[in-house]
Amino acid sequence: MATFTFTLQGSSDTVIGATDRLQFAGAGGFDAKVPVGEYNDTTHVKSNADANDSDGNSPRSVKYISGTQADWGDGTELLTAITEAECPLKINFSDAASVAITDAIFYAYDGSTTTAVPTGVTFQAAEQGDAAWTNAEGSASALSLTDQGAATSHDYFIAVSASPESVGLKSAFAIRVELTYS
Amino acid sequence: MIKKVRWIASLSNGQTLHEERGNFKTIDGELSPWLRLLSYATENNLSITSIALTFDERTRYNLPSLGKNPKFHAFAQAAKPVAFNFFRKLGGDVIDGKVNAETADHFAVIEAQYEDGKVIQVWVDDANGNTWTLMV
Repeated sequence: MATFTFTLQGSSDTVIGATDRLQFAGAGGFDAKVPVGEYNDTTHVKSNADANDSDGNSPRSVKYISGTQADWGDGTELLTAITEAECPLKINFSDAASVAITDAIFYAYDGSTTTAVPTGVTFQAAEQGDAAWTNAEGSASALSLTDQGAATSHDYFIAVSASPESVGLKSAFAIRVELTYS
Repeated sequence: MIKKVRWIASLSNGQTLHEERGNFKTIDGELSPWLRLLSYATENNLSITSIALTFDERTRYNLPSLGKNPKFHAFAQAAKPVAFNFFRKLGGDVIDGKVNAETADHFAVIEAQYEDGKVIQVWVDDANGNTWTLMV
């Protein structure tokens, strides 16, 4: 049986459950709005009951600064300096058998058509070790993830940052991962 | 997520092997049945001559093969693949409650590769057995 687990890393990790949402928020923390044209300062997990599931877990957050720079709490740094533990998002793929993974991609879309860009949001993503952000909007512009050899458990560490292009809640905005395994 | 779609492969020595049968059952922590099949073929200097998928052990989806006993002339005349492959494709959303196994997209895929670089793929949905054919 194959399983996908998405986790928001922090001092304690917060598993993003089936009915949870990943929330990009402003400097004020959970539910704080991000000004138009700016990137998120904090990242959280919000339950379907609007509760802050990552409260107390000091969730990791990364802010896009430029094509090769980011701020994950220590001021502006080169993206290449981020460690696995400092990446907000950990995606785990596991299987009972030892499988190899190829052609994994990660991107944002509008929540209904995978080739469509999210509505009203600029989305940036980078895998730990990448030198530059990828404007990963729509499957054609996806972030390519590193191939991994045979194992029963595979982790991907990803930095994500989002910026609203207009005022209001962005509901046509989903993040998706696709991979090939055998 | 349960793997309802499984591969069936025939080898150049006449053997037909099934995923989750005999030596090709899933064993926790061991190489996947497909990787073990590739290893077995390499160690015994064998090649794959045909590949198919089954859904729930009932419906069977075939690709063009190297079989020597075609039922119709069209099968005999058709271009022969030079290689075969199998993989599974999984896609899931992080947001809007779509990360769980029930809502993720999970397909089994077989492909026939031709000398001119063309590849025919058959994708079968693990949830319902629906199938698509792609040329890539």
